[in-house]
Amino acid sequence: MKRRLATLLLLVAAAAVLFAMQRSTPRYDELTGPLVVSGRMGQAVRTRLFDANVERVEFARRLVYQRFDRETERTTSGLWAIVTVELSARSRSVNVGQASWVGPRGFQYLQTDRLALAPGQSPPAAEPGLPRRARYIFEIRPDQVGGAVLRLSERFAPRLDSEARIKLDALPRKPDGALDIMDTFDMNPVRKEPS
Amino acid sequence: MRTAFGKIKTRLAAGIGSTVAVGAAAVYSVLGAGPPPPVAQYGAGSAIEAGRWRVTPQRAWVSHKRVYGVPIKPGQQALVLEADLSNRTRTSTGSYSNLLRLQLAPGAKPEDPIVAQVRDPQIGPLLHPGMPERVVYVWMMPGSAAPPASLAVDVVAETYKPVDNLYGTPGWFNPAVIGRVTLPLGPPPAGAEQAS
Repeated sequence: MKRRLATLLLLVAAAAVLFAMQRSTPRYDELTGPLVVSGRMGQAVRTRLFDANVERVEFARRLVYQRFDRETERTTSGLWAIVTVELSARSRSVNVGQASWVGPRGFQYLQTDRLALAPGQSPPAAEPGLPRRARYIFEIRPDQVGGAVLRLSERFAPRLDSEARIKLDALPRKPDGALDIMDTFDMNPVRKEPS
Repeated sequence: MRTAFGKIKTRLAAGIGSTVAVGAAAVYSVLGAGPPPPVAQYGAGSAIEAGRWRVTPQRAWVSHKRVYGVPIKPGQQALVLEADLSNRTRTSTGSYSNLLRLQLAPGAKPEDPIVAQVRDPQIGPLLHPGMPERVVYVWMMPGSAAPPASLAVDVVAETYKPVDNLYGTPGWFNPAVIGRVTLPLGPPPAGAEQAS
């Protein structure tokens, strides 16, 4: 009787262990997923291929830029978020082409594709020893502003390669503490007046 | 004696197993051969939950000119369907071209539509989570074809799988028709068509 009980207990225990092992086995996707490098605004986040330093975040309701000498306007049902990043490559030229804005509840907003031929929207190629500024623009819902994270990598969904995750914690504020949202953001480079 | 009895038992068990298998296959084929269940019918303005999209068809018309930035070649015409699309997933995506399937006369091969955003016209934009946008689906047709009296499209929805069998990633699979939208072909709304 005692022996049977022991066998039964052993069986139950084995089933429980097997169930736990089955549930906790990491999936292929997790095993080969991105190697996360976390950081925050204003500090250089060092990944395998590049260093990234988020300088500022701006918000606007409207974007304007010159395309073929014609003023082009882009509106949105939400907000335009403009993130300025200083990039420098580490050992070889690298295109930091994949950026996304991940909101507080995990919604992932990829870079907008509605700014064809806008200035400064070519893929941001960084060269070793030559730091440069890149501008990433997202179309987001207004409730995705606080507690967001910027993800930067060389390609979409990096496998066994590093991905920078930078907390966007220094948002532009008005003196009264409300979020500072510009009506219009001019994407054109500042032109020098001919003297 | 014991082995002989065991043999009989084995044979009996195998017989029962195959009988059950054949019976189950027969039942499934009988059930599958029946007419497909009727799909839900929708009209203009009804919000349809279709997998990763919520789609609200608005109106339809026939266009001979450039419509929301989509060029139409000379000698062609286009069936245009205007709809509101909302991304129900957690990430930005542009995979909406298989959402609506044009129903033509039997034998006609439907082409893939061109999808354009109405706000600041652009072809095939990414649509972001929780940000509905108005888009047009444009199906090209030869100019000689007589346009139908009304536009019928099937709504194709995919189902979410939290873990797929190959990579263990979440995804949307198994497209299936969940309803049919029928819209009368009316006049184009103001501002939809441009010359050139």
